[in-house]
Amino acid sequence: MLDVNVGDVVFPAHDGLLGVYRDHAPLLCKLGMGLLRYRDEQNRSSTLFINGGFGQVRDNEVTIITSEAIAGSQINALQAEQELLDAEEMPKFTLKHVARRNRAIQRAKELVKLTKMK
Amino acid sequence: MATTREIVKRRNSISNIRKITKTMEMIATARFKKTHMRATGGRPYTDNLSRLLSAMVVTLAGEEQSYHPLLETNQQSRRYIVLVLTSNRGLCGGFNSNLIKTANEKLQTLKREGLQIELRVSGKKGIQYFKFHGYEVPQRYTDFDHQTSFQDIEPLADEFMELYSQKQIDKVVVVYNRFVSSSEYYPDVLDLLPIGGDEIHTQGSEESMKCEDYTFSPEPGEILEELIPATVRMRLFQCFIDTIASEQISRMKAMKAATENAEQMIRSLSRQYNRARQTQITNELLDIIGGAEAIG
Repeated sequence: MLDVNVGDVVFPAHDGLLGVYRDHAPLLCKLGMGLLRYRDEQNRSSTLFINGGFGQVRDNEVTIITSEAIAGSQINALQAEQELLDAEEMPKFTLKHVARRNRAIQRAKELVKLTKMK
Repeated sequence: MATTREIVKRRNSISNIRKITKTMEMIATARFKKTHMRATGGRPYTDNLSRLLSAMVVTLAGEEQSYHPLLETNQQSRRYIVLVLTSNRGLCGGFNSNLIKTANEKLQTLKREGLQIELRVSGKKGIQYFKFHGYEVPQRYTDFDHQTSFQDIEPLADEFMELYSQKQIDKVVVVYNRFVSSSEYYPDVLDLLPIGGDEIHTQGSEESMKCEDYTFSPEPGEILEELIPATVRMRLFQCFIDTIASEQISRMKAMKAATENAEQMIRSLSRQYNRARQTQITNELLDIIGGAEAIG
């Protein structure tokens, strides 16, 4: 669990990036997959890769509930490429397999994209 | 008084038992470290999902878009599913017996209300108990252990949700051991379905006091469509990982106590052995002296 005081947050909502500053209106939204950025009190910027979930904004408090979060510094280009290859190798015999494989490919592609952005 | 040979035999067997209990304690400690991380790590996620759902349920109360079959109260079938989570292995102190006691109390209460109960038990210990006491256990699970993952629990949660949506059942109750800290756990009963129970409403009213006008993105109905199954699955998974962590704590404590008892017993037997040996030597010496005197 990560609990920090931040100046602003930009997170991937289901339909694109969403920026939250001080006194943002109360919001409940579905999250997508991608990079969450926040700036702490010392104005240092940090990033996290998040994979779906839900976001809540109220009373100057942003709660991000996600099933997966990887610190930006821990994302490695080689590992991301390997994950993409592994995801493509996953079985696709049933609909469930295909869905799982597609999710894994999408996740790996996002990770690769993020490593290229760095 | 026991002979020295008998005492040595007992001491050796207790020493072997001590080795086993010590090893089991070490295994339980190693497993506990892993399961503890999962249980404590999963708790904020589960609680926040429930909190979020509560906020939505209360904010949207009465509105058409807040309809979801899992939030509705079913009353037609009068059929309840009671899932009891026990362990596959014993030697873990009062872990299973306390849980079974709570499960029994719940079953009696439901029976008194004239409800039809479908008992489902996870863990060999619980299955043995309920089978012995004449309960019908149509669904038994023995595959859930310390390595159980979210993917293993998902199909079970999905099955419950499907049965509930089809109105074949009125409620799903889970009896499990709730993990509190590395030294505390207690048997608890969770109403898994319907999800919009009293707990959610109480939590939700507190939440809505803080804020009333949420903007939803996408439409609330779409969020609920994803949020509700995610919450149910996670709540069920949390029950499993809490139980698994509690089992390891219980085993660690039980095996620690057993090892200490064995050590105490070994010390006492060693004293007895020394005394017996000394008596034996004295007797032999007396025999020799007696014999020598008789000859001389």
